[in-house]
Amino acid sequence: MKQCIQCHAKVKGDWDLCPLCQVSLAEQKENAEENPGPFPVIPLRFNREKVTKLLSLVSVLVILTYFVIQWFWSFQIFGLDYVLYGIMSMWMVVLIIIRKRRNITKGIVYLIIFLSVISLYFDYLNGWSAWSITYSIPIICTSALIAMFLAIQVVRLDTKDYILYLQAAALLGFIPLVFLLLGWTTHPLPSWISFLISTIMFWSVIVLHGKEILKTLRKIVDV
Amino acid sequence: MEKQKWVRLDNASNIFLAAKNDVDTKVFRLSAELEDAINPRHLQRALDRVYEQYALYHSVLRRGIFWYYLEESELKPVVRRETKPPCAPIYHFDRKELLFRVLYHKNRVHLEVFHALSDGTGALWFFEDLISEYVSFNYLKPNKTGKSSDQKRITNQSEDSFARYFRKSRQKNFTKAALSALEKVYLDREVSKEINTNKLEPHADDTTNELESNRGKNKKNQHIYRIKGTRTPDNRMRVIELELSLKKIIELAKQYNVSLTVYLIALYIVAIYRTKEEKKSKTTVTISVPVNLRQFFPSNSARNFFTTTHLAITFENERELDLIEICQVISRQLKAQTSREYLEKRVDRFISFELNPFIRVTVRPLKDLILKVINLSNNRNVTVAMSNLGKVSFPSEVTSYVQGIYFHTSAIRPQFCMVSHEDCLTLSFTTPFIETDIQKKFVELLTEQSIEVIVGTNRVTKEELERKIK
Repeated sequence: MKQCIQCHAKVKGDWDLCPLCQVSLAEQKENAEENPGPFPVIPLRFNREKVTKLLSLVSVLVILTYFVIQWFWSFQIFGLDYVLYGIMSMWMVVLIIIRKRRNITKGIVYLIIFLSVISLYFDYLNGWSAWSITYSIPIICTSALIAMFLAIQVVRLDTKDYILYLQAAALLGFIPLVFLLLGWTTHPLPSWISFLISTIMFWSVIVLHGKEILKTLRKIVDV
Repeated sequence: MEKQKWVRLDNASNIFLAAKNDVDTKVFRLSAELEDAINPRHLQRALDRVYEQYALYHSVLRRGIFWYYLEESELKPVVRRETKPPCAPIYHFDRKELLFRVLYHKNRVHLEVFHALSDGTGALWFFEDLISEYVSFNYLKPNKTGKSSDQKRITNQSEDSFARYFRKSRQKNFTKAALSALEKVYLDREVSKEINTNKLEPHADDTTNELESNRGKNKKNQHIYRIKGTRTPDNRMRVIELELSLKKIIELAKQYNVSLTVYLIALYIVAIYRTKEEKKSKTTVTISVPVNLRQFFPSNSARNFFTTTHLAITFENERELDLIEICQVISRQLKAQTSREYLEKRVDRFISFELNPFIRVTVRPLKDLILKVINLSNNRNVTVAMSNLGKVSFPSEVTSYVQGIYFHTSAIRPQFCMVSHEDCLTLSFTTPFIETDIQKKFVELLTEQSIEVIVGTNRVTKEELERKIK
């Protein structure tokens, strides 16, 4: 084993400098095979940074593009705030996908809520034409339920891991009906479709997995 | 399908979930160095057998509205080659995984455990059995029936093996094994209260009250030193292992008339103070040291069952204290904070937290937040931490095959852990920083007294890694 002349410690492994004092150990010849050191050499990982870099780059490019287009176009299409909201949504969606990547159904529920709130907000900003509750929210709910149904078929998941989220999504799908009954919508069809799909999903889950739901619920709300 | 079993996670374990982050993963590692390269197949066999005995290790962690809970799973652990930095995250939200892993690299076996599952002492039981099984599979030819060490141990007749067997048999039932240690203490008390209602009147104890208030006072109007440094590039931990002769170092400690733990804490404090760059007129170095409560409240629970003591040394007017002074102050503080009365009060407080109806109905995310805040404010008052796991012992046939036992934990601040096996004492320093000044000073303090120190370190910076790959 090499020995450091400064701290006098014997050093395990093939180090050129003493890991504590940075004093050179290179003169001491040693067979690296005989003394490999207790730790494997593990390369650095930079994943998180990569995602952040990529998203930042895309964000900057989008803003630049907006200004370039504005430069050539003589009239304004929409304000920069829209672009910024778009970028924020992109970050949020990526964040949700990354955070919830291990439970697809949960990720989808989060996305339903996030996207619905965003479209409500934009509708409000644009002087409320009710397009969000007439079209976008029912469509988001319907397509999310279908997506969830498909995801469950494709990815192997334990019933009790997805069941509550599936049910939550089905319940969210009932909300457009409330809008419809309150007379807030301008066209009834999307809300009816959402209600229909949700009803089918909700009751088939209750019939097929009712016991499982009760058990999971009891465990989750244990005080 | 058989009904799945689950047990609520106690507050003491919850803190690890709240405090866990990318730097401090709240994972600790026990390693054993054996004679030859590890045979993964034998290790897997050993793991399968030990896993069967310890129901607690079957747990996965789930989230409820009010609590986290441990749920018995059908997962089977698989031994893996070490390919990640030490104490890499184990628990991920939404992922159903076991809360421990078994790794191997060359002639070492590692057991990494998420702290919410078990504490060092609890994990050591599992680890001792794992290594014993492995050694018996790999070296001691197992008899043909395949029943090896369990029975050997019983026929060995040593008291220890009986105790261990007894302990083991109690770890097989999931609900019992996973029940929090505090809950057990509480339940036992309820039982004994019923038997003996008029036995103990709680009496006012001035000394412990005083201590309790001192703990609080320490935190105010004092400048507590917090070590700063450069974070490693990908948040991996710097690990520095020191190997020493236990006998020699105990002799040194004896010269100061203190225990080995106290002596090493004192050395560590000296190393920290000497490497501190700007010395203010008044600086307090504090160290948090966990105490295993099983020594005081007999329990065979492998769940978290410890409390932490908080020791403090104040340096005034740039005067460096003698090692002997520090030793005495630390020794006194440690004694006071590990007195029976003091610990009983703390355990009572822990139990009252568990039973408190307001805490119980607090939703989990809020509990997490509160615990996070508590943890952050605690961190402000802690300079460093250390943990002593004591002596590891194996059945006599196994001992000779084990060259050394190592123990370290993930750390948000420079920290060291110690464990010994035969004459080999290992101290493992872990730190989130690249710098090694404190550890270097510590080693120098030892080598100055002609103690031989062997150092093993992992590579954390780009330069260190490149030099090796080149």
